[in-house]
Amino acid sequence: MDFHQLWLRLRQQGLASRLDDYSYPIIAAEQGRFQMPGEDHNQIGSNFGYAYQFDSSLYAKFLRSYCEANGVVRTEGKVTKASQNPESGHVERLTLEDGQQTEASLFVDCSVFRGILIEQALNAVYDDWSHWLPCNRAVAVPCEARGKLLPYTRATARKAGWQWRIPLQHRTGNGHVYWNEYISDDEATHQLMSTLEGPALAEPKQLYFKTGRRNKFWSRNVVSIGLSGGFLEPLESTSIHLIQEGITALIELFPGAMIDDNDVDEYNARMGLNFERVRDFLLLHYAATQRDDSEMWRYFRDMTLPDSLQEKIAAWNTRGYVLKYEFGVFLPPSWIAVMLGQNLVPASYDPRADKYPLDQLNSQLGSIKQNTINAVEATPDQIDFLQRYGAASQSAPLVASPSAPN
Amino acid sequence: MQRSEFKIVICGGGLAGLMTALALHGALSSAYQIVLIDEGEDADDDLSYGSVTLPTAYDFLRGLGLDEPVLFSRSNTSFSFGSHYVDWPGTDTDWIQCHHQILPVIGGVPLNHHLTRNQRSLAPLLISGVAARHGKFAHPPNDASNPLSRAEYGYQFSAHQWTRLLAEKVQTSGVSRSASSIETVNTDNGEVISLDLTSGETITADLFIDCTGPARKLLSAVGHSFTTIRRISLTHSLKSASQLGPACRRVQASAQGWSAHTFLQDSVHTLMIQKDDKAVDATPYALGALDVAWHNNTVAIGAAASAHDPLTPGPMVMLQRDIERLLDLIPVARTFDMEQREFNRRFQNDVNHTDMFANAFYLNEAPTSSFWSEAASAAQSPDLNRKIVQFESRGILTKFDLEPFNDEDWTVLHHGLGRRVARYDLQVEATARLDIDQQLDGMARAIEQLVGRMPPHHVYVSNMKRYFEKQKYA
Repeated sequence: MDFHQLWLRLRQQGLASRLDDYSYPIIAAEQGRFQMPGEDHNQIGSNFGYAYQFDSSLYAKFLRSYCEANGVVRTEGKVTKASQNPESGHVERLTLEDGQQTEASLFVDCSVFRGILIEQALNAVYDDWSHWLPCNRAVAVPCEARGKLLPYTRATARKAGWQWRIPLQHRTGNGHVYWNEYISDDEATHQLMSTLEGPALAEPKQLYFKTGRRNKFWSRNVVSIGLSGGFLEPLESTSIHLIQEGITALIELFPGAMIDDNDVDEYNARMGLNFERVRDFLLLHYAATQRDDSEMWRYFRDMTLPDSLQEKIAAWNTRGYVLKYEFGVFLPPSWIAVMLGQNLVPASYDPRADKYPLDQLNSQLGSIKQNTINAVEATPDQIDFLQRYGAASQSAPLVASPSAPN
Repeated sequence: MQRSEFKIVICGGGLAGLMTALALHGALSSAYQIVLIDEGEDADDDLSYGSVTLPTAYDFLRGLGLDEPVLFSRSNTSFSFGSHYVDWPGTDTDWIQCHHQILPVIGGVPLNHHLTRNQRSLAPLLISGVAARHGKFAHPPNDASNPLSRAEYGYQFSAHQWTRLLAEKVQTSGVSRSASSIETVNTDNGEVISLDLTSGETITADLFIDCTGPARKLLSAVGHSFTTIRRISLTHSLKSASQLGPACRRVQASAQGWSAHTFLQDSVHTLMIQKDDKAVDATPYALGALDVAWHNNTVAIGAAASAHDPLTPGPMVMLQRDIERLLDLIPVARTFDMEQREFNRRFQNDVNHTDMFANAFYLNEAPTSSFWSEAASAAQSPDLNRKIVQFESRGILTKFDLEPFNDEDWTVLHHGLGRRVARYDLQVEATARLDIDQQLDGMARAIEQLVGRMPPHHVYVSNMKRYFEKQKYA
């Protein structure tokens, strides 16, 4: 019996507080506390996962030095030409702006939205998902960190998009993702800059994108990984996960002397499924909202959802049922969090929950709640944990220069 | 919330009906009234469930009140480490399709790739298979350092005896049971309205469960047709045995089909499968499935919904999944569109995945008889082709959502069927070939030694029953 079904029963009896109160990582996050999951699986505080908030520029620099130290040969330059075999269509050679040429049997296209090889050379069709996920621009800016270091990202809905706040040790990352149909770039930037918690540390950076995916992530001898293969907006920070999935699948299906069409098909099938399941989860954030105070939110309220998502929402609303799948990054707890978080409260619950005596159930859930409080109280603040763990940043918090924008 | 009364009527007195009645009664509150129309057992129908289960049956049966003390003391159930396939077309050697926990990963690379590189066989590294081949059995311990902890087991069973045990459980469970037969199914606009019984009673319900086997009395009354994929015939016989045989079923192929010998405590049950026009005294049986298993207020469970090749534990897996799916989706109100859609979605996936595993047996080069050619023709599917191509190309196991047969089942099957992997993951070369050989030799030796110390299956079961007797479990 899924825990949330028991909770739904108690809630309908007026005996349960919010579901979050029974979740150690949520309460710990709200209080700015963190520690590694415990190893005793009978104890609260053992059964959660965690990820990272990081500075992507610093991380990229780190990866570059790590790669080079491990034998990766790096050539800097702009690709001006991709020469293809006239018969097979395979890319054979890249020519850089300075005239250098590079030949290879396999090319991995990580050229972000440009898709230098997958699109410009091979014309792999981009399946546009803008009608489902129409936000197409973002403006990003770091600012001075303020307050307690929180171990979670905050996403705040705006009238034509949403705004992120990612607290790092040395600064806070901020961004406003929006649909330019309903807000100008200037206004989006103004909204972002006027709601920063501290002075900005740089000029705001404008980003443009179109959500969707390649119909073929792998075409001929080119594998597109990262944004060249597809882009789903950063609402759940899934881009890096999809890069990981692409790398893992490529390693597993790495070609031998020849590229086997079966491997290409397998890769494309796996990545297609990954993208589709993430798409539905992202769209849920917009579709499940009750907000209707602006054109964009009314668009989502009136849109026709993909059947796969429509069915998930119907199943949840009917009885708190989460459609069962094995593959896909978002597991039932994630779906439950977003649906309940958006006030989608099921009309009923699994009737098997009625088999438990109500008093006993109430007492057991009460114990879990109290044990969660106790476990969180014994958890250090994230900053203390990082220092103890040896992961505290060596750089001092960044401070805005007098000429930085406000 | 106070639930309003909801009446569920289950039709059918075989394995499916009894298991469904017990499962629903055990899971639901008294707001759900469960009524079983027990038409009596049709022994021929229940034969189609085969005679072996997967390891997942352990928890499922316990949930119905059939734990091992009951199963072994009150029926002729025995253990099953798997099935022993002999003379299978396209194979050079026999193999044991054994149940096993996750196979080892060495140096971060799945075992399969090391076997390809070092040109070694999988069989000596599977303790459940080695033990079954030697006629040995013991319960897998929890101690992870013991090689036997990696074994898993299901059961060899007699459908007739399990039906008797289940019927007794139903009698004492509080399920309302009517020993009567359906005379007429009254329908209106695609819904079952009521059932006229031979007892003279007319019975109504909010939800009807069709467990009437291939007769499909309810679903056929509301107009749902069964799509036949292939027709076979089943012939069975029972021969008493003075001593329990090995903890694995023996399946032997011939030009006309195959036969399975199931080793029960007191007997050997033989099931012969041929083309449906071969044997005069055989029961014809159509393999296939309904287009939808839940239609309006009627749900088909078990052989009423889909019929699977008893070559693998697939038929019992499917019955178990049908019931678990129903439990997940028992209606919360008198409209159940959502439940119907989701049940049918999962049903279709389960049918496809269950059949895919059995179909994989038929794609080897086989005799030219009509049985084998029809089976091979029906076995083709793009998903199965994807699995075979990826395995033979590079030892990769292509997976789909929530398959009933796991990676280990597929790995053992591919190896057993003689599928050779063309190339291995180059990451294996991070470990010296000789080191891997030594490690695998050590694993095989440890398994061989441990199996040598295990008791024969019949001795283990006798001792276990004596223990149950002492503990007064029986």
